[in-house]
Amino acid sequence: MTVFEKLHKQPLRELDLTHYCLVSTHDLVKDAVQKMQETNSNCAFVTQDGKLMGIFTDRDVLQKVANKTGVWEQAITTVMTPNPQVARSDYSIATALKIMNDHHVRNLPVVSHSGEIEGNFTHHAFIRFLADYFPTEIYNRPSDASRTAAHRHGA
Amino acid sequence: MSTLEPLHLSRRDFVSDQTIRWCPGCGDYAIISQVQKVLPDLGIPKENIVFISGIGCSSRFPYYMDTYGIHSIHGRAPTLATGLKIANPELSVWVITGDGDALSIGGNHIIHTCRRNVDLNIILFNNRIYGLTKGQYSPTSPQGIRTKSSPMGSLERPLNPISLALASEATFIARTVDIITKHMGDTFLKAARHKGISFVEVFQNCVIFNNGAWQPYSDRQLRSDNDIFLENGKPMIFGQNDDKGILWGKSGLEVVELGDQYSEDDLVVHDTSSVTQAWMLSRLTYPMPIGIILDVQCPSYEQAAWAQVQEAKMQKGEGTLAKLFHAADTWQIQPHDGDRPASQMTVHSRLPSNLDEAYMDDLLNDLNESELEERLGDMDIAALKPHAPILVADSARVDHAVQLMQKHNIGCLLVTSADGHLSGILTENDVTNRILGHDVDTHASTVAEYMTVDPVALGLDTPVIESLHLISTYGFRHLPVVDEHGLPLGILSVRDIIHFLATVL
Repeated sequence: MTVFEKLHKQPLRELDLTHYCLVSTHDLVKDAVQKMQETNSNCAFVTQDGKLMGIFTDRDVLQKVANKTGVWEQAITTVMTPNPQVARSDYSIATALKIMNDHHVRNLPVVSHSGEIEGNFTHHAFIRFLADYFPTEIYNRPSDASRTAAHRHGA
Repeated sequence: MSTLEPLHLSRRDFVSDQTIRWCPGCGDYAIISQVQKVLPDLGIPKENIVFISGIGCSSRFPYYMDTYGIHSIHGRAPTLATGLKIANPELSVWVITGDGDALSIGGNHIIHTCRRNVDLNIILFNNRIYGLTKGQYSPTSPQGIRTKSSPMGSLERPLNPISLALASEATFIARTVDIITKHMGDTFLKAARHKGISFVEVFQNCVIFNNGAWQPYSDRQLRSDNDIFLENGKPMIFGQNDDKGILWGKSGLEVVELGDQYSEDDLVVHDTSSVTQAWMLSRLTYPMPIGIILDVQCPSYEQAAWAQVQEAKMQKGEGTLAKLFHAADTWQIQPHDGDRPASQMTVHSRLPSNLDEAYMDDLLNDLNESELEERLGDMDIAALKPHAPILVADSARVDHAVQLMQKHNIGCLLVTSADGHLSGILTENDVTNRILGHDVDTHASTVAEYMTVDPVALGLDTPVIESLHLISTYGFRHLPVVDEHGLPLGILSVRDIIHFLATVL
């Protein structure tokens, strides 16, 4: 199977979808930011009774929280993006990329048939999928590109 | 500055200024990238980290690390490391070795270093071949392999490094694979945190002399059916669909299909503290155990040695070196006239460098370029048409920088020094993680205090594939593009790169 066929066949659930954290609709903005900091996440899923109610990303932090007064103590529900675009875990990678592109989002929550959160599809998950396909070309590179030998000599 | 101050080291701090001399596509690159990536997580100052190697391709490692290092004698890296660790127990000491260096000439030293449980981290690059000397069979080469030194097939049965480490009483034993990078990085971290000897075998591909030696265990299509990824406390399940498992059979570990006859409850639960289980796993080749095989605690050699020194001092008091020197029979040799100075020897030699080049050219011509290499190998960053960057001076106030990001709705600013050169990068991640909620007075702080200093930057002629390497290995989301003088030209985001890939793939 070529990488192109694989892009259209491999379901999202087989990728690394672990880059997110969960917060509750009862949390304040500061709680959510703190949780993102602790877990080093760029994205928080806002949930209520295990259901995804909204999404809050570091772009929201930058646009809606930074340099603003009073937002820090507000409920997360006032700044989150409600009813975010999601993908189902049996969607192909190609489909998910198209959704991301069409909706201009960088985080795509992945849910099961019954609506349970299974993960977060990000651009990085896709790049890692590619890297896994071409490990020799992508992983086996010098840590500093400018430090490779221009000529071969010696043993 | 207090020693408890956080270090803020990044992987770049561990990259040295030396030109790397490994073949293109060598697995060693993936290994050094992961070591450089995870070292900052240990929170150990650079000056307290030492890499000691023996002889071989992998043993060039210390040059490429911006830490202390010794490129030592063939097979003897464990001995230098042992001495260093005893003399300076506060150091984090790593031994970089290969299947030849550790298991042929250094076999004896590796055994006794493991047995002593010196607190060292041994990373064994196992490529099943002698690479530096151009392709002779090694102690781990499979029986029957035809190489330069075994034209009719090797007669020797291969050594199993994991079994050897177990027999040598090592207290932390693990196996990982060069291109399963996250697993490898995690394994190195756990090895470093283990107090006592840590022995990590890395399946490493020698792209020139033994390409594909580990393919059944590294290839992404094959590995889920051929490898079992061990996790402490978890049942031993493997297979593409998690449909196979391992249970205790009559004569050892047995592979079974999960389904009507066997369920998860019948399987062996991995226990890194069980030596018996570790022995069984070390002999297993289908599936190939990957992960931490053994992790047990026992006092480390250098601790015990220092305890004895303290005890001796308590009993006999502080000693002096002069007293020790004169403790036994000593005598003095008198010089006499007419002594000739030692003869000075001159060595004449010629290096056969021409021969090497012709040979390597021949070999490299046989390498097949892969699909991606063909499509992306000759494309460079200029083809991605990077956006013009939004610049901010490093002396600017943080709140101004944030306003700038908000105004342009972008996640990344390139930071310039007074002379216009790229000096840093400030991203939304820095705003989220380092500024908000940290009691930062954004009116009084400057960008220079919160930016990432000297970020990795690309040139317009950098291959596109390099950007994929940086993103997949280090998780970068933005890559600055600079001209040959270090002046910022543009900015690439992961999104831009994916857009581009969508058009060429």
